[in-house]
Amino acid sequence: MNKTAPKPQPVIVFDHIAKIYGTGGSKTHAVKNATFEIEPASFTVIVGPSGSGKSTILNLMGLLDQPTKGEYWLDGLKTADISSDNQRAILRRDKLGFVFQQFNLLSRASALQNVMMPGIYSRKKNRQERATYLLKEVGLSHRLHHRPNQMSGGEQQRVAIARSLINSPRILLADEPTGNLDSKTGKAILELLQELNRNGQTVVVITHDDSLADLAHKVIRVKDGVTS
Amino acid sequence: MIWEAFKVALASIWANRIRSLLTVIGIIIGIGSVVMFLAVGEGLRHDVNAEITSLGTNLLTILPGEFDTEGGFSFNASLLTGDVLKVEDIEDVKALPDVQEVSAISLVGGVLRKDDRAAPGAFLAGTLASMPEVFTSVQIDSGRFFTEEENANKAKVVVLAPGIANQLFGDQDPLGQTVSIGVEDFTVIGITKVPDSSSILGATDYSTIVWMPLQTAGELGDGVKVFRILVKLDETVMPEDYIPTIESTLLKRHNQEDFSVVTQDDLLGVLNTVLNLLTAAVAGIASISLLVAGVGIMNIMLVSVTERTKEIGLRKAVGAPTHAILLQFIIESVMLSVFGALVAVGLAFLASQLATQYSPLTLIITPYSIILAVSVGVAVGLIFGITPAFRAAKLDPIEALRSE
Repeated sequence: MNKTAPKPQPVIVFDHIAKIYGTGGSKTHAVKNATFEIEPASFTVIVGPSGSGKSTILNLMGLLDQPTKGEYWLDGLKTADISSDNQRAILRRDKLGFVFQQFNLLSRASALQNVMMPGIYSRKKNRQERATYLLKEVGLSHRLHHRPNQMSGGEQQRVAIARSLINSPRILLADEPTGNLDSKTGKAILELLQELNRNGQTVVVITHDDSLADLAHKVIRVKDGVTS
Repeated sequence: MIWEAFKVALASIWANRIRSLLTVIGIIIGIGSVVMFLAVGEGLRHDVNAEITSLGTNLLTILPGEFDTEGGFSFNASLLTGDVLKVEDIEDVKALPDVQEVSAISLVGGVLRKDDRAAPGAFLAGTLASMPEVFTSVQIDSGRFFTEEENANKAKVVVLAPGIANQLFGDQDPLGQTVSIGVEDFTVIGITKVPDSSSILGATDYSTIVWMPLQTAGELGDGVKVFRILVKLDETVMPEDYIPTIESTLLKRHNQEDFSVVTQDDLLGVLNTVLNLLTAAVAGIASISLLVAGVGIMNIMLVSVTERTKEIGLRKAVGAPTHAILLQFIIESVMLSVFGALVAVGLAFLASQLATQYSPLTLIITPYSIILAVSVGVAVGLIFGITPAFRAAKLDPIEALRSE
């Protein structure tokens, strides 16, 4: 390789990753061979039907699970070398932002407190200012002190997106972010994610919905535990 | 992060405030009863100390048998029959320099009667005319104490405690009246006061004593049996320094050391040892309820962890390290039990104020028992919170996030 402009290093490299659950006769190959790269500032959609192994791929990417085979490089780090739960937690905290289908907000906490929460664990000094700023960015400056049950589904997902950004992650991982929303609200959430991406945020969306593929710079299809 | 954990714990306790309160009741009862028993023990000790100190500090007591300052008396036959100390011993001690006054006590059997009324609770004792001078707690309210002549003449006279006088004579004036013990008739010549420093112990002691001359008491039984010799020393003498002088004097007559000479401090020491043991035993029994309370806390914390599985999963997913989760739940259980401990101390304080005011008991809550209560609160929270907290910290984030 002798290119004049160096290609930016991928933030995620999946190199022949397999994940096998169970042992002996009850072995399940959740992921047989996942090989792909995700470039910085890209918008990637991982699409596949339910049971295809895309959730396992998300858990592996999110450092919530460890592959049985293959190498996973996150932001230049060989993650197989990081085996302690606490080090992986620190890596999740600093490199990754999670957005879930179920929003997973703390029901007793306000929007602001929800967004600040991951900042507690990174001991972020100005987390209240940053959380206020992020809620404004996602269009919720009028909802700072509302609790999740006082907000619509779309608003709750916006809070969740703001929360995922509190520690300035390298990658935002969104698992079926529109799965619990009507199509109009879902579209607005996707537009928000696209806008974040235009500002340089690396976004990975995992979905079963093929139509989301149109938004992506790169589409990774998963079928029977194999990526293509 | 600890501050955040405090806030989260407080929010969680507040969100389930009824449940938290019910859980804490166990702790309140457990720690509250321990604090109360300690307060009763301390109050009794205070009363006993005040009582004995009020008798005067320049006192020595001679008693038959061996006196062990750690464990109290070792009883033996001579102690019970009262054959060890003699009237001659009293005279010998009285002749010593630096001895201001000597008195003695002998015990008399029998029931005091006035016609068809009886005072079975009366404590009949023989003593010398010097008693009111030696023991400041024995003072005359009306009439007079008997004289040394009356003692020598074995006069049939008695001095009654007010309680006994009331029992036998009601509103009548007992002075000059006749009472009987067995077939012997006695003239009532005086009524004693109940001392000011009357504790429960003091009140029962001094409100039932009937004094008579020592020699008269000897007539009732078969000879004078001296149970105690009380020695009042000059103010200039340290009581414990004077013990050897008395011992060597008595040893001239006694072939062996079959008696003991003790100071007020020695007597206090024994009483305190006994009281401390009693208090510790009762407080120990009360602390069993703390175990039950602790199990209650553990139970509620396990419920809390189960209810918040999803929250724990989320926190771990966004980067909470294991120890942060551990800390959060331990702080929650310690907060619960320390809150209980503080409420318990507060209630015990109120109860002790009321009890001191409206009952003969004096209850004293010392800083030591407050420190103990709070420490026990922390310990219960830690011991019974650690298992649920570990369960929370070890949750797999994927599983936890999937739970409902």
